[in-house]
Amino acid sequence: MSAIHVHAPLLHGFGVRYDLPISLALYLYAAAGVVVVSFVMVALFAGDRVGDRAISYPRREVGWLTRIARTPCPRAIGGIVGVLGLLAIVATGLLGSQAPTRNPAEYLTWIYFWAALVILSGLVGNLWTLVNPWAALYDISLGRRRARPPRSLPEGLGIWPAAVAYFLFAAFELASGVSNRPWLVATLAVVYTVVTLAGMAIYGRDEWLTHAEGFTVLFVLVSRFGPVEAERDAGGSIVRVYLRPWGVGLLNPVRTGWDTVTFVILTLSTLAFDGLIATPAWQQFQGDLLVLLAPLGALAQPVVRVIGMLLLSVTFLLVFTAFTRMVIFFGSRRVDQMETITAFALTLVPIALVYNAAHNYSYLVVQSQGLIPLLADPFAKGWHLLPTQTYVPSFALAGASMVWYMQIVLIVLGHVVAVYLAHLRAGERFQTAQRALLSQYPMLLLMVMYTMTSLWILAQPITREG
Amino acid sequence: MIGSAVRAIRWRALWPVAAGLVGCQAGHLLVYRLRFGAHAGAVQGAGVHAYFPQLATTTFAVAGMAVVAGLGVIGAARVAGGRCRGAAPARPPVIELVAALFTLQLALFALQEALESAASGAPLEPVVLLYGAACQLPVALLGAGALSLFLTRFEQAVERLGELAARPWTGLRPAERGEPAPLDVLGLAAQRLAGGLASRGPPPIVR
Repeated sequence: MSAIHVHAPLLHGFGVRYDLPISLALYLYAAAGVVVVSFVMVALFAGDRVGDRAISYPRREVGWLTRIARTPCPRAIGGIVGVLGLLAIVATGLLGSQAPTRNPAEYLTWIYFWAALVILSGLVGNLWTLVNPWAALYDISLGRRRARPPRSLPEGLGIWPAAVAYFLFAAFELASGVSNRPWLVATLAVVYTVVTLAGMAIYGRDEWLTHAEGFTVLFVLVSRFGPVEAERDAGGSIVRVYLRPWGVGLLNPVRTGWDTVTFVILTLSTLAFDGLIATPAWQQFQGDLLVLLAPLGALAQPVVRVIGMLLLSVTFLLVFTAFTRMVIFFGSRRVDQMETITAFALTLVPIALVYNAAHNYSYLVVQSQGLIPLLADPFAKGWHLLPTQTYVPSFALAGASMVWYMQIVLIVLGHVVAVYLAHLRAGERFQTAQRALLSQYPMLLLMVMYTMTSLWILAQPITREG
Repeated sequence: MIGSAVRAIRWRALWPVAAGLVGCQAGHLLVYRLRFGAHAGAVQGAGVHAYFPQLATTTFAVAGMAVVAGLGVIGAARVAGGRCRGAAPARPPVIELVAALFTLQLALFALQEALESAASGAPLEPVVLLYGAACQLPVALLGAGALSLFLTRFEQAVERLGELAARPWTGLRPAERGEPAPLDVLGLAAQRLAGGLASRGPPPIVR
């Protein structure tokens, strides 16, 4: 996305920077204070929830949602929307204007799909399962005569292929420097479509989607936060649909392993890296390394950024592992370490979601409107398909101060939810209120540090100390 | 509760802490090397950073002596009790060691830099933390690999020496030596004679 703003001044741009009325450090301390207070509140009011009671939650069946979900309509409508979206990206990317701000492919890919759909799936539930265009194309072409797949993915591969796919996509967005070229976005969409369809044909639809298709794994993960829960039978058909409180779905069992932990960490680290590259510190670091890598020529910058993304991801993973190890140590109860590390990793998902929302806030409320005038002339051929050509995006919700305060609220909220979920998980793992409380001090420290770091990163491009 | 948790810390957990202290200084050196290249030596020994060369030298010297002492213990156990043939004890998981070392090194590095900034009156440059992460990582990886190998052998050696020390002392006794085989002088002479004098001299190809 950073590459886009080279050519598209609106993206990530806020015009005049916001003069903070007080020192940035005070904001950071205040945010950290809120997280600490929330820890105390959780310990006071939910501290006695231990064992299985800690991770059980209320849910209510919603009859009308169940009836709708059991019809083929949602999948059919969602599939049509998804396939049309994919076609629009490919067609406008290849045939439309090559200026990123004048091409719908850029808006559809980076704002509506990558930012908005992820957040929406976290807020509502797994919408991707409805709009996944590759699953729809596969179902249309092979669904009726679906045979046993000729091959199966190796046991133990887990979701590593999906993690690699996710990392590559993030690297394309953040490190390549060419993600603002519509023709390339369209070409890669075609290539990914071919790879995904081939993978589903060879290894089986669900096998491929749940292990190797990075977006499906991502949406399954974030939708655990959402309030809609579908109960399925052995054949995968929906039996009942429930509503539950936000976030508690992350307490449900999950596949255990470093692959899951790494995937969760990648969702955090790639977002943090997106924010980090806008900071003066990164610019200086990158500048120094570019001098060292000058022999690589034009490849030097992408290489430095990929190294930076890897470095940040490894840093996040190792620091999280060290803190979770401390959690287990202070929990003073013999537990399966891998299972525990994975279970605590899921409690970070709310942070990834809110960070996504905070980081992309201006995209969502301002830049997303840029698509409206393009609907009248998506291929830049001088057409007037709709009377929207003269639409001017509204900045009503995107003043720099508004953005800053929204980001503070979102970041603090995400960390408070994470603290709450981690406490419940500790109650389940360590069985007594005392042990659960003691185990959570390292996690609290991690949350406080992460809150302050996240806000510091987000503050760099939009604020100025007054 | 906290007391019981603290008591539960095994001495084994102290090794990564010690390694983290040493590794942090090694990473610190790397940071300066990466940032300032050939001028690193001059920069890191000046101003509020003047203490650093002394600290690094002392830390590495102490670490070196500890490693030599540890190797001495391992060697002593082998000399006294022979090579251990039993199953090797479980190594600590390397990823957890890397995580512990890296986190500790990064935290110490950040603390050290923050204190230096406070002493100089200048704000901490955030870019230093990026350099810190980049340079502490390879040190942590190497340190964890080495520590994993060393810890296993060292603990095994200490255990072996402990077992030997617990045995009753039977006094010194001469080393066991087998009787030397008698020299077969006649057989040797017969071999020589059978080969004949023709076998002496340069090889056939040059004859």
